[in-house]
Amino acid sequence: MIEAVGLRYTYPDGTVGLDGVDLRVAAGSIVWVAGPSGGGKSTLVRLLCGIAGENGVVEGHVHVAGRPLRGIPRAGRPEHVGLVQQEPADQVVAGTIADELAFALESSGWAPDRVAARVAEAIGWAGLVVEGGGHPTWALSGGQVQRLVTAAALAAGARVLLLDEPFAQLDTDAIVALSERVRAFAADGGAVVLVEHRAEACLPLADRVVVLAEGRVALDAPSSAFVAGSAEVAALRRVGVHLPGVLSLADRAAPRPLSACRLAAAARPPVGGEVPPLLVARALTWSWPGATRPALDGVRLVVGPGERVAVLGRNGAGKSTLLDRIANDRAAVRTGRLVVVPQDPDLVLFRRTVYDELAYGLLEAGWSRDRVHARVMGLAGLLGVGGKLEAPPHALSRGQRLRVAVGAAWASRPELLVLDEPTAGQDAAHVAAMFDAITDDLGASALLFTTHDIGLALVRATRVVLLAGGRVVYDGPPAGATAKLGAAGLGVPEWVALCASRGLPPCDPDAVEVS
Amino acid sequence: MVALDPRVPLVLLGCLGCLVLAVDQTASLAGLAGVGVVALAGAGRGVPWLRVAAALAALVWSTALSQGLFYGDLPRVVWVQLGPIVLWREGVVHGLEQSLRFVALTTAGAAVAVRVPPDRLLLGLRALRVPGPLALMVAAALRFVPQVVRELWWVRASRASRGRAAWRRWPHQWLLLELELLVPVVARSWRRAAALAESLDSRGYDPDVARASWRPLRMRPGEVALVVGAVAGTAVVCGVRALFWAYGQDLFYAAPLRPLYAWARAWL
Repeated sequence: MIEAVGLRYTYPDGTVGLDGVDLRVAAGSIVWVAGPSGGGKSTLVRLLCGIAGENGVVEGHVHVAGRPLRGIPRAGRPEHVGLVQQEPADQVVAGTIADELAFALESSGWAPDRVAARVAEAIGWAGLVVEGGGHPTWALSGGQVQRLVTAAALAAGARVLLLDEPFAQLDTDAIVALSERVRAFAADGGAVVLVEHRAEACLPLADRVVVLAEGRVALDAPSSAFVAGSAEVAALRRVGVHLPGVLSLADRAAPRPLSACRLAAAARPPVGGEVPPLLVARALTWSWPGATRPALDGVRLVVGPGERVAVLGRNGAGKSTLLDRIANDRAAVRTGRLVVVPQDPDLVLFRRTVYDELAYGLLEAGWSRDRVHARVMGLAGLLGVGGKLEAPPHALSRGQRLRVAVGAAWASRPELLVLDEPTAGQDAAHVAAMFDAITDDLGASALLFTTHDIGLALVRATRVVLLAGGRVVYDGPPAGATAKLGAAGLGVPEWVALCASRGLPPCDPDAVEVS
Repeated sequence: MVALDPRVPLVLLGCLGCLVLAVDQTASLAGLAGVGVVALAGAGRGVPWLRVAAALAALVWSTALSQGLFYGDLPRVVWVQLGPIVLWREGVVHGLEQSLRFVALTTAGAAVAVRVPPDRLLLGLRALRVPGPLALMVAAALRFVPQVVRELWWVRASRASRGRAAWRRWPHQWLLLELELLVPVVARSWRRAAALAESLDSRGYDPDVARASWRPLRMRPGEVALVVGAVAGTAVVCGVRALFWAYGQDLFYAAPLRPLYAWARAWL
């Protein structure tokens, strides 16, 4: 259905983004493109859609259904290839669902009655019938926006769907809902290229895995080959992609005992006593202007020194609102000195180089240049940006920018570090390194983070707070959270269920060995 | 404003732009600024009222004060004198005029940006014969205004949380830091613009090719009346202003127009 031959992309500064990539995706096939941040995944999907070559040099060929992509006029491309990029909200151009779905059809010159029929069909595909075509796009949840832009990409009848990190900001249910639609599209003869870091969602969905590293195909194998202990899994790990889902898949095939289970609970520091808390929010209630129900409804949250608190919940449960109130509502929330890293790392990077960014907080705190240098070098190494110290932060990949933002925030030695979705767009190895860097040096400070990665929360946090509809439905140790995930509308990850079935608390799947 | 034909707010915004340029009287400019503020108030969703009001008040105050202190044209009259510091009345008035013009246009522009979806805005601009690339640029820029304002607040808050307060520095350090704060906002806007452009590109949008529309623009009778009234009113005001200017320059004078001259002197 879509075929890339010898695809090579060179940025204007001479950097090679893709280096001779061959990729063939047949009709009815879903290919998961995995790999470390900066490996060329996003560049690949853009080239497959024919839009990344404006500033750099493109070599090689892309054929869609046997036709060269370059030979298809721009207005006709939506009828062949649909693209959904990262940050779906940035791609919305229309004010209502129906207008958004109609945009590509209007570009292709469809007649109004044909557009209306296709829009109605696409609304059904996206699962937005309840909202209806006149519903404003700004009022949709993250999962709904993702389904909307996906439906909009396919509205003109594209038979190739290119998805760039579609699951990054979605909760489990939203991932399932989108996965079902992607699977149905493929079953109907479509071809899907899926770029994503969340292995647990992609491996069951894809029938082939292609790993890109440093602009080249490092591995191309059927997804069935990715079982525990296989050479494919080892190869993935070498490029920083970890597969927690592999454990349960392997276990289903041939039950084997687990050994060497590193319990997160063992590393948890004692909390409480006479130490004053670093954050106190009691009966916090908040409504956004024009909203029909409160985003937060009587939330009580107290965080003490040394705690690592994960806030979990579905899209729209109130997680980001809670962090916003913690950062801005001085009347209702009492905190120690806190630094917030928002979902969008761009908003906190304002120095000229990565080095300056990491050093800023330390220099402000009066550290000597030598101490600052040692600290920055150590931190940069842990965060995987040691080779980028002289680069402008905004020139880095999204994952790298996020790590620099977290590192810079942490380097300023706050009493409370608040991270909003620190895993979005990050590969597992870098997430692990980032949390290690913070945890090892937490001391009397505290960490509060929101995430959709339930496994990360259960393993990395000392306490889990579950939000649903703006209310706290659970606040306690991670071990007890597993049973309460359903109350927050969240599913239990396969490997967590596996641990529970064996009487084990949630453990770090990357540390588990199958004997 | 969502329900309006997008050409209506665009035409009204254009009329307001003409009027703020044609008018010099402080009271009239205050009225036009009021129109902009009311339009923004009607926009409602997501507007941080206290911050907007504080920023506008600070803008008007600081412009009037700085112009009052440093006004150099003659004639000028002392309004307030505190030792060597003199506040010139004409300077304050001039500062008020300039800041009220700015307030009128920015608030009205923000109202359009907040309430008219970018695709409808694009359609409206194209219907008004604005060239495709320019229409796309304007629609995208207006769409991002509210987000850029929100992000600027975020960046400032973030910087403040990571170190000393900005004012506890030497002035040149403070200035450099203030300039650096624009970098994240510009970078984010650039990235957002690129994402939007690629989204449009991948959906077959070509700024040089006329687009079909499944919901063609149709003005209702009330909207037509509003547009005609606004354009006619603006044309009249600009015409009177031109006549008054010609009279002031000794280029043209007609005795029957004396009441008009008096009205223009009082209000324009």
